[in-house]
Amino acid sequence: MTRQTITLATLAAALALAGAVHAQDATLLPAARGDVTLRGLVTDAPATPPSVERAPVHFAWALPDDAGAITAPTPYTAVSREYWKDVDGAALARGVTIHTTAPGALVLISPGGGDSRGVAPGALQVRQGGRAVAARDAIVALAPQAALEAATGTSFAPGALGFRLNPALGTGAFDLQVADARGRYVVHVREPDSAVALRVENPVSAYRTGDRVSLQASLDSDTSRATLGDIGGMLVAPDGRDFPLRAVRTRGGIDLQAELPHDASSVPGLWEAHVLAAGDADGAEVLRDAKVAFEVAAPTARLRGRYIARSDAGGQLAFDLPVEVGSPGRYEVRAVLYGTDRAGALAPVAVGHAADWLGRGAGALTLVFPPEVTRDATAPYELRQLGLHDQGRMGRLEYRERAARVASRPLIGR
Amino acid sequence: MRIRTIVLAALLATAATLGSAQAATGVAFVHGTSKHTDAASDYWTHDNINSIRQGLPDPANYVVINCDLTQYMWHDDAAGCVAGQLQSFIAARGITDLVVITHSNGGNVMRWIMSNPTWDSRYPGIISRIRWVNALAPSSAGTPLADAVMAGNMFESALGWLMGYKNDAVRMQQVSWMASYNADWLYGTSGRPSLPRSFYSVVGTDVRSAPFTANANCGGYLQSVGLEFTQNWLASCSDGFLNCSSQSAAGYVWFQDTQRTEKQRVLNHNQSRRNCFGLDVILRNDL
Repeated sequence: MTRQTITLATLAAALALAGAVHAQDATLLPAARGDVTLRGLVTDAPATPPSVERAPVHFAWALPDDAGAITAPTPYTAVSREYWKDVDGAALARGVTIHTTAPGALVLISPGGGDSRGVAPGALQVRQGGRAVAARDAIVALAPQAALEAATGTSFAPGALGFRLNPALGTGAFDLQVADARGRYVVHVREPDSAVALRVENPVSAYRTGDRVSLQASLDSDTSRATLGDIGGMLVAPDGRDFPLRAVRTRGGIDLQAELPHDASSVPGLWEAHVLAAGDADGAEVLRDAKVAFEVAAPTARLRGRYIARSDAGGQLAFDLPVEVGSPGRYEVRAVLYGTDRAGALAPVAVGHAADWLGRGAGALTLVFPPEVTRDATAPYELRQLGLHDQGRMGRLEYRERAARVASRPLIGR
Repeated sequence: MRIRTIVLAALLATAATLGSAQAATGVAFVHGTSKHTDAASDYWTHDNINSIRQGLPDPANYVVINCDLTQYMWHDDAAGCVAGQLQSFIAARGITDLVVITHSNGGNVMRWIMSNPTWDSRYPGIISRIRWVNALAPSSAGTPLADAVMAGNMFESALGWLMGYKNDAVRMQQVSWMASYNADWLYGTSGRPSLPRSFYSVVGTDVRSAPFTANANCGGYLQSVGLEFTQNWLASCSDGFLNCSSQSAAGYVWFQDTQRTEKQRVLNHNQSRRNCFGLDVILRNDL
C-alpha cells in the first residue's frame, strides 16, 4: 500500500465517522420455505475464467411506480407436442415410420454431418398405408436448408429439409423415404395442433452440485384419454457427461429422478434433462420428447453472519452483507429494497447490486441505495429477493425471499 | 407508460439544457445472432441506418455494433464486445443520451448488460447514458426453432450425447434455456424487477409469403419462403422466427407491426431489421 493510499483510506474513515452514520447490526431473517441456503462449501471449484472482472462495482436503480409484483423464480414446465428420432441412412432409404395424432404434422430431417447426404426435396417420398402419395398431394410448405437459414438467420444442419404433411392426409402412421439417404439423420416431428402433450415440470429453477433432481411428468390430452407408457431420459451436463433419469411412479404421476454429481461442469452453460416418452391416446401410438434446462452451481460461497444496515445524513442507505467464501471468485449480491410509502404500505422501491472479487474465508459485499433511488420511501425497510451469485462460474448460490427488516432508520453508530 | 417516460426524459433533457451542456444524443444498432465485421452492410443495410439516423440532431452520432453474437450473451465476444464498442462510441462522440436499437438476440445481450450491471465495470457508465432500448423482435423468451436446430444437431450415441453444434447463442435461445436465464439472471419479464432503463419491443405478428407482393418481397423473397414453414412451427401469432409471446415477454410492448406500419403491413423476422413499410421512419421519429 502506498503512502497516498493510506492517506486516502484514513481520510475516508474520518469522513464516514463525521457523516453522522447510523447503523443496525442484525442477522438475516430465518430462511423460509422456497429459500435456498447452503449448508457447506466447496474449496476446489473450477477456477473462474481469467477475464472475469476484478474491480468492485455497485449499482442501484429506482423501480417505476407501476412496477408489478415481484415474485420468487417460478418453476418451468415444458409442454411438448414433438419428438425426434435418430436414424441411419439405410433405414431412411427403406422408409422410417412416424406417428401423428393431428393433421398437418411438421417434419424436419437433419443430416448428421460428416458424410451424411443432404435431403433433396425430389428424393423424398411419403407413404401412407403402404401406398406412395404423390409429392404434390403429400407435402406443403417445403423449406430446404437455404430457405430455413434465410428465414431465421440461424444455421441448420447442412442438407436439412423441412416440410409439412398435407393436412388433408389426416393422422396416423406415415413412412418417410429418402432414396439416396446415407449417413445419419435426425427426424424431428412436431404436431402443433395435437391435443396430446407431454408435460415435464421442474419445480426448482437452480440446483447445487450434489442435489437431487426430481421432475414431474404426465401425458395430457384435451380430447382423449392419454396413457403414459414408457418414459425415461437423461441429464446432460454442459461438458457432455450424462446421467440416467430414473422413472418412479408416485401418487401424483411419474417422477424422473437423478442425483447430481458433486463435481461441477468446467464448461459454461445449463444442464439439460432430456425426457423421452411413449404412450397411447385412444388407441393411437403417441411419441413425445421434452427438454428442460436448469442451472447447476457448485456451492462456492454463502451469506453467513451478521449484517449491518447503515444510513447517513444524506439519505443514503447501505447494507454490508457478510459472505463466507469457500472458493475464491467474483461474487455478487442483488436485492430489491422495499420501503414504506405514504399510505404506510411496503412497496418495492429500488434494485441494488454489488460485486467484488473475494478470497477464501470471510468477506463482505455492500449494497448501496443512494437517496435518488429510495426517493420518498421511509422505514420500515425490507431487503427482499436477496440473491448471492457466483459470477465467474455462472451460478445462483443462495436466495431469500425476505432477507432483512429495518424497523426504523438505523440507530446504532458505527 | 412510454408517454410517461418520454415526459420524464423531456424534463431531464430540459434540466440538462438549463445546466451547462445540451444532451448529445446518439443511436447504436445491435445486431442479432450472428458474427459481423460489417453489420451495416450485411445485417441492417445502409439505407435503413442512414434513414434512421436522420432523426438525430447530429446524424454522425451513430454506431453500428460488430460483435460475435453467436456466443452466449455474457461472453466477452458478445456483451463484452458490445460494451467495449458502446463505451468507445460514447467517449468519442461525447454521448450523454443513447438510444439503442436491437434486433432479435441483440435484445438479450442488451438485457444482459442492464440486468447485470456489476458484471463488468464498464456497464454502469453505459447504462447511465441509455435513454431506452428499442428492441425489434427480441427473442426474450427464446424460440422453439432454436430447439429444433439443436435437436437436428445433436446425436445420441452409445457413449452419450455428442454436442455437434457450436452456436451457443442458438443453444441459449431454446425456450427452456431462456426461461432459466429469465428466472435467475435477467430482468424485465413478468414477476421480475424492472430493468434500469426501459425496454420497448416492436412485435412482428405474421408472415406473408405470396410472391410478387410488397409484403413478401421487402427483405427478400427467399427469406419469406422459409418463413412460411417456420411460422407453422410456431404459434398463430409469430414473425416466422419468434412467437409474439417471446417478443413481448420483456419490458413494454411499444407496438405490434400492423398498429404502426404503412398499410398495416406485417413485419416478418427479417423485415424488422430493414427499412420495410415505414419502420425506419418510426424509429427515426423516436430519436
